[in-house]
Amino acid sequence: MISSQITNPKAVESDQIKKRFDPMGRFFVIMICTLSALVAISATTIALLAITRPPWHGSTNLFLAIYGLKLATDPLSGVFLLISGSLGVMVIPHLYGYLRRNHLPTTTVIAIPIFIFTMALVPLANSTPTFFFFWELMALASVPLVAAHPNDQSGRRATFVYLAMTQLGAMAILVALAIISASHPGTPLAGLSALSSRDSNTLRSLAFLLALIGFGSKAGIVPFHIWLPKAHPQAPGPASALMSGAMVSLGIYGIIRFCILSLGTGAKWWAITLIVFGSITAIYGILQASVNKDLKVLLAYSTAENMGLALIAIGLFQLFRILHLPNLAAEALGAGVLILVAHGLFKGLAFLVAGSIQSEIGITDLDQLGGLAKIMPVSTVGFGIAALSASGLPFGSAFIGEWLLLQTIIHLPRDIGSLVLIGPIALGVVALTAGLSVLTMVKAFGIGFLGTPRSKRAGEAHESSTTMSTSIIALMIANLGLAFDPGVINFVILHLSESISGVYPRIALGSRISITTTSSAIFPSIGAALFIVGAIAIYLIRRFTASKRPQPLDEIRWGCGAKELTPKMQYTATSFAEPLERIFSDILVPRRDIETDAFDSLDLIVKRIDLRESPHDAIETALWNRLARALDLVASQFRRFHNGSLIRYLMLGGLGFAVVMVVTH
Amino acid sequence: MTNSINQQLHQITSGISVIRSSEATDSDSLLGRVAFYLNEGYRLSLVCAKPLPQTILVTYCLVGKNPDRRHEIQLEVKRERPELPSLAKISFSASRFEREMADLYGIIPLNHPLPKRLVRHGHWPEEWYPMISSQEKPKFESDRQVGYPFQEVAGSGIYEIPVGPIHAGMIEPGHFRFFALGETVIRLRIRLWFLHKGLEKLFVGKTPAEAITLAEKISGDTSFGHSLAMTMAIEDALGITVPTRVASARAILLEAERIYNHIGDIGALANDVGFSWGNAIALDLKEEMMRLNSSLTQSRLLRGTLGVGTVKISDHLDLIGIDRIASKFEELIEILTNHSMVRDRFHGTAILGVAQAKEMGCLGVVARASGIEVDARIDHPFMTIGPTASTLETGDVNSRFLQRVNEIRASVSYIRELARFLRVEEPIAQVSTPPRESGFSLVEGWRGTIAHRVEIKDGIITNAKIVDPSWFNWPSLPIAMTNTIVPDFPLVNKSFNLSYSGNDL
Amino acid sequence: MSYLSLILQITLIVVISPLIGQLMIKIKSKAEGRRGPSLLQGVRELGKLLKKGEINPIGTGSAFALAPAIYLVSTLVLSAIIPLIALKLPGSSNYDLFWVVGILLIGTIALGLGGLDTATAFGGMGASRELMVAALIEPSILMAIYALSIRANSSNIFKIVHATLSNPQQIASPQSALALIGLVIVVVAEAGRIPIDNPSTHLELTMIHEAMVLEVNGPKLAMVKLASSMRLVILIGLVVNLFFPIGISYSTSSVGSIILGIVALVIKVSLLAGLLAFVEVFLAKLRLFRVPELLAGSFVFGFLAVTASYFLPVIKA
Repeated sequence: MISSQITNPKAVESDQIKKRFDPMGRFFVIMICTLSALVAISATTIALLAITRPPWHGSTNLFLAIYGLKLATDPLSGVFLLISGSLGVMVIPHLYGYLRRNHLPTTTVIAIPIFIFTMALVPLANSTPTFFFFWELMALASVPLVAAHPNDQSGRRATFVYLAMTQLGAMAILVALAIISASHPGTPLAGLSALSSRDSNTLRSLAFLLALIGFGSKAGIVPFHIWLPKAHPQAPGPASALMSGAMVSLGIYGIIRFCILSLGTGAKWWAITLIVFGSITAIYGILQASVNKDLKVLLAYSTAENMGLALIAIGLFQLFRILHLPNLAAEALGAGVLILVAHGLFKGLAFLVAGSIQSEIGITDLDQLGGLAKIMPVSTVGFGIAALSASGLPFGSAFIGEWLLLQTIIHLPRDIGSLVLIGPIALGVVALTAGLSVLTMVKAFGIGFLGTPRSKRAGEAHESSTTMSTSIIALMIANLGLAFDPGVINFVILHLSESISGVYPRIALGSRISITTTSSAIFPSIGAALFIVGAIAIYLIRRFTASKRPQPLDEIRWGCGAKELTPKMQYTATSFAEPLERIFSDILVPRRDIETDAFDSLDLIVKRIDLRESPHDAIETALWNRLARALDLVASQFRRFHNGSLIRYLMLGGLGFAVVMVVTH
Repeated sequence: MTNSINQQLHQITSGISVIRSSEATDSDSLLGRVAFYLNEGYRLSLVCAKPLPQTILVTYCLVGKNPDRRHEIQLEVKRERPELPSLAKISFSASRFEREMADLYGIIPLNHPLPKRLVRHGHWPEEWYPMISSQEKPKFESDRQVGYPFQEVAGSGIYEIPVGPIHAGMIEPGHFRFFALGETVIRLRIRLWFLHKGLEKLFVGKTPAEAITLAEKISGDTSFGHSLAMTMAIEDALGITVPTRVASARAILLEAERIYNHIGDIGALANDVGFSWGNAIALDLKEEMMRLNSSLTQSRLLRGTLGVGTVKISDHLDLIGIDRIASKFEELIEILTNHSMVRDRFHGTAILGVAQAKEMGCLGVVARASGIEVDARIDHPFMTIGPTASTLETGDVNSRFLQRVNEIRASVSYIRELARFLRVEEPIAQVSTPPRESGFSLVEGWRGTIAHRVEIKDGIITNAKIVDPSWFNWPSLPIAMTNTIVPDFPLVNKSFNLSYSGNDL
Repeated sequence: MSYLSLILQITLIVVISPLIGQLMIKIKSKAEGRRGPSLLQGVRELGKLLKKGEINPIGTGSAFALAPAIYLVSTLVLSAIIPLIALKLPGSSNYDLFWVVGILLIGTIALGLGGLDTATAFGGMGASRELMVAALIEPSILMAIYALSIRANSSNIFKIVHATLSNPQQIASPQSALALIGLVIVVVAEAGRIPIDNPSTHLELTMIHEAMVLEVNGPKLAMVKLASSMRLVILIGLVVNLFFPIGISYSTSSVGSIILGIVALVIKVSLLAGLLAFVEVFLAKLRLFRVPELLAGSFVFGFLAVTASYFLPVIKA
């Protein structure tokens, strides 16, 4: 749906013409970027202070007359501030390049610095009203980012869905916050004061569930994920990078802050609920990513997958807290945070490359890309590193977080009864997710960047501008840095764990990553060194034996006797997905029609065959579309009362008032 | 032109008779006449053309069973404007014969739904038709590469797999173009006809003895089947009836060819599901059968045995040897049918529906595995006794496998029955009916019914048309492959095991 | 001495791999009543390929050019990071089994990307199939690792083997048997043997592994072939040492124990490889979409192994 709009050649062409005749002013763009950079840099600075320094809090009555703005820092807020701040800093050059090349609605452009600013404010909020105020501000600021293509239908629909999900989430959060602050008015958030057992369990559970729905909808937790694959393809690349890398993580921040810390120890089923939602999200997200052929949709679903993994880690963290296993809890939290940090970096990188492709080619449908390695080398290497990380493979930034998660799972104590079953189940989920993410990323990289171009536009592309490449290179270095020496964020994990659990986790992050209690360790640099030694050995042997071989020749590829192979003879992204759709057809419910126009009734002499695809999200179709229809039905019933008669309205009003009076007495 | 139908009774072997008829028609009534016979239960078995000085004579051979009836409809088209009405509407097989004639004789089928070239090579000069002998042989520009215009499947995400004409195995050239989505074949297109040998033209001017030898080379694995068909067509033209002893010897050798080929196919099926042990056993059996062939006829491929009115066969038919092969074969089949993995690969794979198989005029194992009762040994016999008929319903790879198994079993017992006729003392072959211009034969080779039609004048062949069952069966392979998964193709292809050489003459 | 044994281990794998591969072919041939090629055929083929000139398929890029080398290097790295002949190899405290699996996957991915880079139908088809198997096998592998790590309280591969060696009674437990079954299926799938893939087929359409490398030729093909046979030997060696580490050298200080370790490994790997080849004779290749079912089966074995480890009493010496 979305891709067809973007790839519509006419639409693209008119877009191009618009670009040429209506460029964004250089001054305007520089101003926006400087503003964004200032915000991002200060966010990063505050983050570093927040993590390393003792908690700070302050308030002002400037904005909210009744409650006043209450701000505070602690390591937890610092971590999330660090994710958005550092990603913000690294995205700015790409943003500049993107804005200089693409014409976007002014509201979208102006919204970008505001969005970064509000993202930085959310983790700093120290009271429920302040938090909600910033949260809503962030949500509103992000809407224009999605509404970057107001003229096409899928763009409008994406904006609508995004707005609807955001507001649904906000409603849930509002009620949850109301419950929390009703029993503890004025309690600061950063003070880690928890609702204790004297509060009604039902009420706490209700608050837990509502907060989970509210923040889960931001984090793309299934079934509240449906806005992700719609919004991301619409937003400009750098904005997607920020939304996916940083904003979505704030959903997890909300879950940690409210579902776990503010609501107290809680029941075991809370933890299990988190793990279950995390598992469903991880598997569903990666399955959808593996079968989607639009690069940005794929990355959006992969975001859901990573949030699912983080949620599993957070669920384990919660479970271990309940079971009074502070060390394992600290490890689980560390795993979760590392997953989020790595995700911010590699998904940011991936979305920037997707942004470059969107900007240079105007197509993100993998089945029309291909061969970019030869024309966009920096972007290709960038995406390669992002894909390596997203696959959860050694030498990728996400590996460490996932490895820690696996380590927490396999070190479940034996004496927790039937709860140990969580171990193999969670491991199965993580493993299947990891396996499928390898496939997904090989698909995205192999189909999109290798081989030969599948469309004319892809064949004529150029590398994006140097400024854009600067961002990509910076993020590449950041990813590799995290992969080979996660010690750079060791202090984050230590302070965070210490501030939340009161114990230092027994994780030693450095170039050697180990869990001190279990003698499990990995040392990525040693592996890399072995690779380099092996590569040198092979190179030398090849060099040495080269003289004994005839000269290399350039020859056509094997076409079983055919001289030329056309680009249509390359494997496609849709084809990559097809076996998985067969295997997981119960979950994915694929929709595909083959239309055959034949001369005879038995289709023996065929005039035309047409494959019609209608990609869809099974959960969206099964749940949300039905819900929407049901709501529509109910609304139409209500509409019958709206006949415009003043007397009827007054009567209804009076009746309602009477009911309220009776109930409250 | 008026339709005048001549009917006559004709003997092939003593005791076996055929009802034959022929008529001449014009292009306006052709469709009606062919439709009439098709409705009567006849099938179109062969269409041939013969260039005459002013016209080209096109003959449609329709055959019916119970009783064995053969009807020829002839139509003359003008050399300067060679056109005839397409029968594609009523017969799929006719639509393909028409394309063949268009390529070789330049006869344009009017209103043909798919008037693309079939037999023609891309680099042949436009106005050159190889079967029109008056034309000079042109200079071929070998670098004139004309790709075949495959009908593509629309929709992004579809990819094409080009396979062939050069294959990894030792097989003949054929190009398979898969339009696939992942592992699912949406549509398969097959481009054959890479080696036009001009075989039908080679027969012209040959004596019957030469023609019989040449017919052995039409398709190597069907040496006996094709040469028997040629022999019988010649005998038919010359009005020769063969004694039962000769007919039974021929029938035995025909079954021998069936057995060794079917065993080979069964082994190949096992091999294509990665069960090489099964293949090893089958190859062993096939070798044993070929040695038995050799002891019978001095030729492992049963070559050089046939002559007009005669067959050379050793007096000693090693029935014990055949029984030994049969019992070993039963062991192999037990292994194969009890192997759950093999069974799973065979079952439900590439189903060819009855309706489609019937419409395409499928023959032989392929047709019978899809529930169509078509067997020349029963429908158009040349021997007084026939084998037990058997068909299967499903039409999947498993049916084609089991059909072969059943046919081998039937062949073994058929050979045992035929053996007693070998001892019957009878007079030699004799001319029983006056010689005619043309002869037509139907022989159930191991792949299916082979049809040959020859015209003889003064002991020299003047026109020949050969139809291998593969001609009818090839189009059914893509139909069966639709929605089958790509990696199952070699297995499916093997279960059809069609001839390239017999198809491309 | 420990570095020497590391080099010995790598060399040993490189040397015996073509022979073991050929041994399997020989056993299969014999079982089917054929004579089969000589045991040295694999080495001869490698030699022949190394002498050939390279052909660079037009249109391919650096991914294709580098894939065979990365595949081989990843396999060489594998042979350096798992305990095959000795328990104390340099760096052994850092070799986590999850990480080892990652290295294994990197090789697969390199070949897959190389296949996609050829821009041919076969290359992409092979890559898609290989990665489908790799993706679906991941849960089985990790679950088996989980099961094994419980008794050693570590997922360090050397620690696991050490734990088995010092407490061999554990092997007789149901959880070990379950994990072993799961891992054998994994090895068969990972190495592309029947019933998952048919390494001896020449039919492009049915291939998994071979389809990916259809364009690879000359010395690069030698690399791929060597690496493939090495991976099989490494995987078999890994399985035998995880479950039957008998003979593996405890330390790297004595020459005798290292020689014993080498001999033990060669014997154990030959036996298991021979057994696999013999069993293959009686198996057919599965339909492609039955493969996930088999892999799901191996996952279930792993799952049962893990739960059994938690709920069954620990066997201590």
